[in-house]
Amino acid sequence: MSSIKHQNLLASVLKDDFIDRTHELEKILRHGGGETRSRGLLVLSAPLLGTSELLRQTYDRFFLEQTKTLPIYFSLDAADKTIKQTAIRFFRTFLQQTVAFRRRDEKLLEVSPDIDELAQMAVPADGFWIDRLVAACRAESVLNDERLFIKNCLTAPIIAGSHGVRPFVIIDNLHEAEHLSGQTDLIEEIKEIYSRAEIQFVLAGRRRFLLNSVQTGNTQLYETEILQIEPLGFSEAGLLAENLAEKYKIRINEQTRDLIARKFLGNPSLIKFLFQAAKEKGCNLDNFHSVEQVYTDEIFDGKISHYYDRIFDYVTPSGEVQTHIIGLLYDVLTGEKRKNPIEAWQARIGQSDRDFHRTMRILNNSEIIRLASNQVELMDQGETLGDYITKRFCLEIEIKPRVLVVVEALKKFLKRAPNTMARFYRFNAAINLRELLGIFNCQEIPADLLDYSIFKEKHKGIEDLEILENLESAVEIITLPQIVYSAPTVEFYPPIGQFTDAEHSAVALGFNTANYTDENEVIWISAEIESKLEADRALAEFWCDRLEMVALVCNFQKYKLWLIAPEGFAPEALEVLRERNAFGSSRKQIELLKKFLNAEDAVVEKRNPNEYEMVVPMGEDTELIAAHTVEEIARRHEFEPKAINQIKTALVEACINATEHSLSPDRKIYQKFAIEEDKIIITISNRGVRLTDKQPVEIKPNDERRGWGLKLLKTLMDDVRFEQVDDGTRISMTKYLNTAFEEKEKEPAI
Amino acid sequence: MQPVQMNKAIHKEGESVTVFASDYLNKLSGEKIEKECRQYFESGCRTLEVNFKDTEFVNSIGISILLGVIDAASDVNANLIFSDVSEHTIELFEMLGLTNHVVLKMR
Repeated sequence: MSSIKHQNLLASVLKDDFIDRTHELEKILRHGGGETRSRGLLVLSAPLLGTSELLRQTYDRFFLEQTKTLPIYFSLDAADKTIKQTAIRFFRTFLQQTVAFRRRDEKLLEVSPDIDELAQMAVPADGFWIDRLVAACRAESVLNDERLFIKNCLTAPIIAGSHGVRPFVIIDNLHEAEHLSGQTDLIEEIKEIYSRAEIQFVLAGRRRFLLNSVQTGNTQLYETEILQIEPLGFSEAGLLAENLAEKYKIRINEQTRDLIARKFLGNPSLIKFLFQAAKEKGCNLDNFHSVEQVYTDEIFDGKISHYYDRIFDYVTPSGEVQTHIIGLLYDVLTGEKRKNPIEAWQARIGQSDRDFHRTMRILNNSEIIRLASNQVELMDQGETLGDYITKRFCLEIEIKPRVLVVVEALKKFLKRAPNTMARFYRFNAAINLRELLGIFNCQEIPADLLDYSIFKEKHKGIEDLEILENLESAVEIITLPQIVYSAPTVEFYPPIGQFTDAEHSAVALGFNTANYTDENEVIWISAEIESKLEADRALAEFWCDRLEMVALVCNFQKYKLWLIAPEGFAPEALEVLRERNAFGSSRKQIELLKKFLNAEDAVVEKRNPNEYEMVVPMGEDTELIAAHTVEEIARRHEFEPKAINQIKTALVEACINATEHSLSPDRKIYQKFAIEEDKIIITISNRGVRLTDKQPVEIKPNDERRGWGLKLLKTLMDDVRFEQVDDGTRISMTKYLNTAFEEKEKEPAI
Repeated sequence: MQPVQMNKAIHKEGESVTVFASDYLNKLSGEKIEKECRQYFESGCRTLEVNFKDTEFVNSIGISILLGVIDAASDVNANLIFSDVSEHTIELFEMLGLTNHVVLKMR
């Protein structure tokens, strides 16, 4: 399959524009080509993840890039109404795709010839068996034996296989079978036929329906391989947004691109809905306001709303029952308990047993809810599902005026947007405790890497390389446990969610040696805590108390507490940790621990002649490069040496501020120096958490010695402004040519 | 006065020592100085000079660490001198109140 043709047959996206499914596509291609051990492949996916497009891309690749394997793609469709109609369409699709492929005539895929015309168009080598197939289907149809007729239709590719053709059959959207009526169980027939067949095949559909269907019933497909389709990663979702923006001629920028990618958690269909809506409305998506405006319209009366409407309409046409369901979902969405017993649902919905089980099954398969252990839980689908439920609750249960609900929703979405990004940046900046704990596997490590008191005494102020060298001669050694399972602490003890995010605290279950006995069992409860300086005694006590509460509530007998503070722990705090038999580490220790365990894996504006721009990466003292540059510029424009020093210092502080606090995703500082007749204006911008969105930090007595950067900026420059931006921070600082430092009133800080 | 190179000097009790700050006083180099100074105080040094002759830049984090050095000197009643300090750095020290707690010698 080497030749690349830039056209699509069944796929709706050009091959080169198809985003981040390379691994999945290659796996299906290998499977179709017979390079895998099993005949069958199950492609499982949550709704709206673009699986059908992936399979249609597979079909196109087979059709256009090789001649040995005959690809057949068939998608179930609820519009067929009956299983028999589905079988007829399958047979017709099979003939059409066979004749088109064997004649190498892709135009045949675009027309709708009837079955007789297709049979006549078949290449001579296929004419005989195709005629017999058509005749067999006709005969059974007359006899009106539905099951036999359906079997004949579905068996067509296997007949082809016995005549020297090598078919590869893809049956997509199998969950739609639930909507079809008839005397036969379509899924059972497919399983029975294809489990025995000697051809390669793919069965695809919604994961909860399909997995259950193939592993139950008379024929069970345990031997098939499984491919799970996941949402797009953050970068790929951003790339999709860029492609859609180009395709629909919609203007976006980096900030809105990232917001869209994050907002929909990499769901390609939801991202596409948003762009299609923007195109229909003729608006750009180049600021948070426009994104949220289009999104609001989508939630209220757009494709997103219609998607969910269809699910609820399929569950029941009764508005009353739908309202009860919405009320229950809203309770789960907003209540303290994130799940409710199924009995409570049935009592409130008031349906018969049969209807209620159907309702639950559809909601579960559509991933509106998760049914587990007789508890009903709302699925976490990012923001959209919750927003849709809230809309319907306000309109249908609270009966609020529509205009009011729309305005309140828009306000809420606008306020949420920067927080969505800030949460994401914090998530990215987190240590990823679960991943780190997950690589604990009885390794022996120097105690210096976990115990801050040792680290502070021996390694503070030393370069990383030198520390790593010194660690080789460490005396005190700790043997890590083997961790077998980890989860966010909040899943064990939800109240801790008041104090920490899911990614900042984890519980890990393991054994002190690889010998799995009760005596060796141990649980590590860990948390990343916030502190600008070394964490003090009160903070250490607070967190030890919280984590011990987790152990108490969960009845953990043997456990170890592990706190991580950015700058480590003050001596009194270390005393507390010793008393509680806890480890306390600094962020630097964690970086080194990862290394030790080998776990490390623009703003463009119009220029004028006196404007200079530069971008420097954060860290590695790059603020000095910026400072030397601005010195050269200011000297050229005849600023006094004293003013130049003040400008340089202010610039250094602005860069440090951006580096320390923004959790910037691109780790870059964008700088612009504009010289006007009597002044220099320096604009420093960065992406990431906005200064105004920073979480309030408890003030500690020693904190007064930090946070001087902003004070210095304001003192050294003549004017400092924080400009409003959607994402990150932009500071504009002005220094006039003829102002002397002494003219300004200065007060010492301490 | 006995000038010493950072990280290598061994102080003899009762003597005064000079520690040299690097060209950029930031978090890492500040912590080095702090560690150095604390070691000298612990070993009995009661007159310590931090020399800034090579220092072109001091940032706010560096200054906050110098305050820690001042505290450490105060705890052991040691004399602390910041010498060869540039005019601009003195301005920064004044701005943030360091000059109330340490003897400054200009460049």
